[in-house]
Amino acid sequence: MLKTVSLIRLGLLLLIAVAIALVFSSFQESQGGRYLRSGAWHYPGRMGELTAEERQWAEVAWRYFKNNTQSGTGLINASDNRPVTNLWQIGDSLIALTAARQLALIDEVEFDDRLTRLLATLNQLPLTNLKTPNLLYNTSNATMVNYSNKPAILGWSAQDIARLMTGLRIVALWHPAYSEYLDRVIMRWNFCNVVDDKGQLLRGGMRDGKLMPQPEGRLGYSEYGAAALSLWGFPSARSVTPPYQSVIVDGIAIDVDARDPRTTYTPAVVTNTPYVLGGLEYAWQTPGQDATLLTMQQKRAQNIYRVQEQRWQKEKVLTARDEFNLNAEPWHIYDTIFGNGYAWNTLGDNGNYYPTRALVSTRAVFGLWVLWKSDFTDALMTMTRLTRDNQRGWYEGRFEATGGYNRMITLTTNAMVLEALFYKHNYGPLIRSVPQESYFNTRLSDVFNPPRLCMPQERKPGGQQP
Amino acid sequence: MLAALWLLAGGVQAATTELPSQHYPVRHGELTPRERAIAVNAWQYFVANYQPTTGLVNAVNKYPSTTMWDTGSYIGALVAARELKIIDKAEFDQRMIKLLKTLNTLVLFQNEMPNKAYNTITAQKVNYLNKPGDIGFSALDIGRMLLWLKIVKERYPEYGNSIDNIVLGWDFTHTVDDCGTLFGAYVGPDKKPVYVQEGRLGYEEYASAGYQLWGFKTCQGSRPEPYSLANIYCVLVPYDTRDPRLTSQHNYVVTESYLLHGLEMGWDKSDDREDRVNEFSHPWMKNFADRVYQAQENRYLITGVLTARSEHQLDKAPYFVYDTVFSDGFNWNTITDKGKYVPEVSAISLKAALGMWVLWDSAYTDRLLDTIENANEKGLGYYEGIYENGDGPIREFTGNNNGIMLEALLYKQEGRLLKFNTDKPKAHDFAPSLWEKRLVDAFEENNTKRNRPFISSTPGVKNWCEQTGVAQRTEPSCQSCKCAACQNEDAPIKLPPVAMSCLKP
Repeated sequence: MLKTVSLIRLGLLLLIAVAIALVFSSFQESQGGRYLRSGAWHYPGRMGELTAEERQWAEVAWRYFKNNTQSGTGLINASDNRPVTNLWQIGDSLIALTAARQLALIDEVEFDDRLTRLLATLNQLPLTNLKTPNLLYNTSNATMVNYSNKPAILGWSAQDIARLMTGLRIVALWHPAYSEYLDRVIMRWNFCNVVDDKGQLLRGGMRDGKLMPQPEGRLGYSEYGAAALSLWGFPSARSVTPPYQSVIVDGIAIDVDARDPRTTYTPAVVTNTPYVLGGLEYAWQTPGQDATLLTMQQKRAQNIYRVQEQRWQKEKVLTARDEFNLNAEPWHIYDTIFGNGYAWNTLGDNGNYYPTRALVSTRAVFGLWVLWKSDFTDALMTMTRLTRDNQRGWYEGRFEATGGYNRMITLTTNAMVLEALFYKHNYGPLIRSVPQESYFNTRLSDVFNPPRLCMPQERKPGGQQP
Repeated sequence: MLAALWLLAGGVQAATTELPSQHYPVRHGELTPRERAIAVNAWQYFVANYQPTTGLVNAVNKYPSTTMWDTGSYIGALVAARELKIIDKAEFDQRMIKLLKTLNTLVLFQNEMPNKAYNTITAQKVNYLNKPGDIGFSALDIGRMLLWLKIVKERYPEYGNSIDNIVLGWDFTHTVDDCGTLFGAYVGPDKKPVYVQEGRLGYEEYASAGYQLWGFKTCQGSRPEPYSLANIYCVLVPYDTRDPRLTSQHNYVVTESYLLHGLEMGWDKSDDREDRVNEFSHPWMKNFADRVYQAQENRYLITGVLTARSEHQLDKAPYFVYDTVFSDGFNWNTITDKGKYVPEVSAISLKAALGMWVLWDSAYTDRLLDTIENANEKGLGYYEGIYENGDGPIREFTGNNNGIMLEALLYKQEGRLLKFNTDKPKAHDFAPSLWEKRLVDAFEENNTKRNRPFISSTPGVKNWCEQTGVAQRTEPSCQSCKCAACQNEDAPIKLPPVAMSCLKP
């Protein structure tokens, strides 16, 4: 009798245990479960599986990559049908490829095929005589070219290099099997003239037939680039803390680089991209043991979000500012929250004011929409979700002055659409850790065989003394 | 209560502290021998550059041309010289009689208003190369002239008749519109006059005060809007937001506009007949002036550069710059009239330095005075400025610089320079001036033709009308049908926060 009771009890207990296990396992698969396991409460914005419509958005963006991949090199044209790219855009391509795989837009075979072609090209990329990658490459044959796509050496950009290195890190985090080949990409490059021991990013340009390094970066892109280099262990201090001043835009304090555009001939602008990318990739705080804490970055991002939202609320102007390309003079526009002295400035590369070119930027809208869930970003997306050609990809945006489309289609915009949707699908930022063991770290720990390329391990700790 | 208002601004973290400059008193009292010496030195300019044929004074040393603005500065100098007993009544009268004759007989631009420039020897209308020319008029220059004509009329009623005749000769049709916005004129490519809104924050309100003193309503011109704030060494400095990229006018913030309103109007409303030291009835001029002052003191404290910024001449190309606290998007911008950035010629402006000295009694302005007190040449007056970069003095001399310096010293002795000659304009037996008698006459054709204002009736005016049988011209009762934008003219002004939270004591 006693035995039977205890057997029944045991059976009941077993049943409960099975039920709990069943519930728990289904919970594991549910959105709430993923939300909890991903630690998403740490992060802002929209999170969760893509809806059917959002999946279509991702497919349109990926369409751009399908149309513009050069099969010989694996490189992607920087704008529709134009066979040129820079290192920033190669970085964009790597992130877009990772996103496409995670969002199941491509299968394992296609991913491997695309990445392999790209890695083969990157690991044999022709370099300048200072062993730095050139500013521009032809996408069909991977030769170094100038702005008219003619063979030439122009110099390099540490910011562009940093974006590529972010892309390499993201691929390695999601596909660690490839990390050795990803690491090799940058191990041929000489970083002596890309970042100095104090952490100042450097760009190179031709002067009197010689490549000359000089400081690069203004507030926004400067910290973004430095943060990427610090993920690999390079010094970043100076570029993470550029000089800044506060200006007041519609009553809100906005930080802008303090170096004077009138005397340095470098625009001091505030746009969304560097702040949005900082949010999408590392929630404005770089991971790792010697984390570079971008303490101001989050506050700055919040303020530029707020001032755009407020312009929509108070002045009824849909606002999402970024730089973009035009298919007419002056070809490239810095469309800013603040630039060269003026709030909401819209600047050509020549420094002239083009107020009718102000744009609701597609790339900015996707970044703001995913990082801030609000009526404002809903309104932005309502007017942006159809700003596209389903056969070619997303347009650059919609002009403030007319409501018309800017029909340019670029790699960066389509990559940022995918990156933003990847953030949502991933329940937060894409980079939450850096690998401790890697080919890069192992190779460079060999003190008897240094590559003499100013790799992090070759530099004096604490930076060079003057 | 003010502290509560400061909290209004959106995201800017308002420091609840006030600016130190809001508590610096003005300097007041008899001139010391040292200060008297400065006045005597400054007057030398007006001795050296006097033109006996017209009674005018050259605006720039040895260059026989002037404007209404600079002539206003000369009148200021002349009043100061008399009151400070540098010259006697006889010399004052001889100069004033000649000058008022010339002003009464000036050939006007399009028979409307005084031309932008006149030859000081011949009193002919000239262009900026001092060649005969009809080039337009400046509403701001005329505003300054109106202000000084009013001051002279009130201080020395014996000149009231001549002065009223000058202003009665002017045609304000295109100068002040129904909403009280000021317009200047230039000559277009087809040789026809083009009238354009003139004046940016600071100057616009200063000039408007001149028109108000003659009874004009300057509702739009006297409003601070549209403005934004620039963060300059933690001080929130207001600047005009009409866009210099789209208009031909720069939106410079300099000391001079606020300074002149302080000296001449005492930062009081135009209808404020009370004249008390350290009391300011204008709703925001004093507050904005304190910010412009504090930004400059802070620049000295933070960077070590002695700062007193204004527009000024140069003794070399480009000859004239707007040497600003803020302009065209940039703090401490120094630009030519074409907008070119020329930081190498920024300077301590002597008029700005002495004006700041008298309006803000502080250790910083003591230092400014020590810097400039001997920056003069015998027989020529004070230098235009002292270069910030150490290149020494700007060896140029102007009537505006020396005139404003004299005004500042007179302010120390007397307070606000506008002194009404009676405090009983509403008395039954108060005799209206010629200006008032004409303006209240319903049958005076020129009142409408020349867009003269409706002036408010007083018992004195009413009494005079009854005695002489003049039908009184009265304003249409519907105020807002003239200008819909001016209905809430008396709405209280909300002052924006004065400082960023970075300004911690």
